[in-house]
Amino acid sequence: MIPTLILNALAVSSLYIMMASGLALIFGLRRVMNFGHGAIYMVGAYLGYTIASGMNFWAALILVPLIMSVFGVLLELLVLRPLERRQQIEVALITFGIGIVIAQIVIRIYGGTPLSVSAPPLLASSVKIFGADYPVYRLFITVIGLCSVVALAVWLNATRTGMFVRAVSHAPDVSSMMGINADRLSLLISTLSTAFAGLAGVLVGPYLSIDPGMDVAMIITCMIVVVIGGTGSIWGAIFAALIFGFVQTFGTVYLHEISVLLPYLMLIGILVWRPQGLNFGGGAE
Amino acid sequence: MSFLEISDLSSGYGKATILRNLSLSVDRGEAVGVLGRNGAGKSTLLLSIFGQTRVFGGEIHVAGTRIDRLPAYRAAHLGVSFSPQGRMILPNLTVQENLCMSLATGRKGDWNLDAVFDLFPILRERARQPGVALSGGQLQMLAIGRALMANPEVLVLDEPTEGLAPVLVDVLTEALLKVRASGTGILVVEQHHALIRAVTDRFVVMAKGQIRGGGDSADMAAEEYAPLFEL
Ligand SMILES: Nc1ncnc2c1ncn2[C@@H]1O[C@H](COP(=O)(O)OP(=O)(O)OP(=O)(O)O)[C@@H](O)[C@H]1O
Ligand SMILES: [Mg+2]
Repeated sequence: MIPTLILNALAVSSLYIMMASGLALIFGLRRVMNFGHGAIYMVGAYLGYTIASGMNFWAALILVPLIMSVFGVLLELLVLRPLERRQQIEVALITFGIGIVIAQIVIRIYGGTPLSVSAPPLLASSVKIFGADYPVYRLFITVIGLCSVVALAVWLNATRTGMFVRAVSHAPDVSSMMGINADRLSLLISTLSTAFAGLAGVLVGPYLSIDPGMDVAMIITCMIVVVIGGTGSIWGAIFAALIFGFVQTFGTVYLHEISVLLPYLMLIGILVWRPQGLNFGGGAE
Repeated sequence: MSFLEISDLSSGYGKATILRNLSLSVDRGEAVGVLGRNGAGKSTLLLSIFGQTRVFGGEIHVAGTRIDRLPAYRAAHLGVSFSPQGRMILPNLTVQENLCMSLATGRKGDWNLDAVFDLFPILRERARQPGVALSGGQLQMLAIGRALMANPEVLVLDEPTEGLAPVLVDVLTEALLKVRASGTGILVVEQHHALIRAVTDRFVVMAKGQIRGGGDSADMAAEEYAPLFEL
């Protein structure tokens, strides 16, 4: 039972990590919380459904992030960049509004009934782990989540562009005086962020369900994760996503009566303890 | 037109005008010192070049390109680079990463990691340490090294010796003389007259957001300039 729960928690945390790290990266560069992130994830999931039924799951896994990266370009060029000098809250509200519109369009197209995608044959089986059958597909989600964290860490810490991203997140003014073009980085980060949201959307199909409320549920989770992690802190967000996945998974089983409240209780508890969030080192560090 | 040409500049912060109709130019390879009391607007002048103030009037040209309407990051690409007051080293980046920030300018030249480490050997030893681990003198060396990595035509420095012991002032003076010898121009705001005299060709004195006068650095001690330093 417990090993299964741990694996479930890792799988769901992986989705949260893919979502929240993108949000934290954008926040680090632009100081804007993209409330439309949940809608991007939703579009990814529905597109994934269409491509998986029309072609196959693997095509969806590759095509959807590519298609969603176009949303990232639009986000940067039509929203973040023109509104750069506006107040954070205004831009955040605009992304919130755009998210609602996008979600409504998706519901118009696909209707309100939940959809499901089946796992590709290769991953549809289960394996024995500690004597219990465990679906391979969930392990697959965890592996992808782990790979994305490692890739992100390498990119941020071992490449020049990653270093520029850390510099701008930490000190935008100094970075600009040293010649770093934050707009170009922001375009890249927005693209990555929406591509990852699309990836999470495709992955969630065969695991949980695809339904009209998924964007809202996900954005609330992401907000809690990013705030707990310390806004703009990548590693804080990743760690918080992990904690969130575990609290949610174990809470549902062991504290069933209050499980829906747990994330909020955790949020309040951590913010009382550390008002700045977990925030390891601040910035995109 | 000079390499760095500031003409009739009025700038400040928000609604406050700090600089009023200020003109100053620095040629390629030339070294100019800026003096003035606290609050005279010296930093505001330098920050205006790097897009950190609000420009109300006048123009700033670097290498013939008007930059006061361009994004802030462009100045460094065109050949001026900056060691700001307070050093502004990024504590979360290593010494080497701080230096490499300037590679964003894409400017090639004699200044690279090795050349900077030769100029300030202590930075080579500390290359992998985070910026937060350095002493005041080392932070300043890093700030100068970082600016040099942009291979500027004119290196701009704001109070490089602020808060440093006299022996470090000498070290920095030597370093700036080497920078000059390499053909790089300098625009330096500094309180130490000795440094200005040793490093620069000419000086200007600022008060209340304007340049009130100036002359050859070699003659700084002359009687005729005494009233300037009373401003
Ligand atoms: N960010 C800012 N916002 C508003 N006013 C500012 C800001 N920075 C400086 N000032 C004001 O501008 C004026 C000039 O400041 P500036 O920093 O340019 O002086 P300075 O000559 O560099 O002084 P110091 O020798 O102390 O460095 C001062 O009156 C200061 O209060
Ligand atoms: Mg100053």
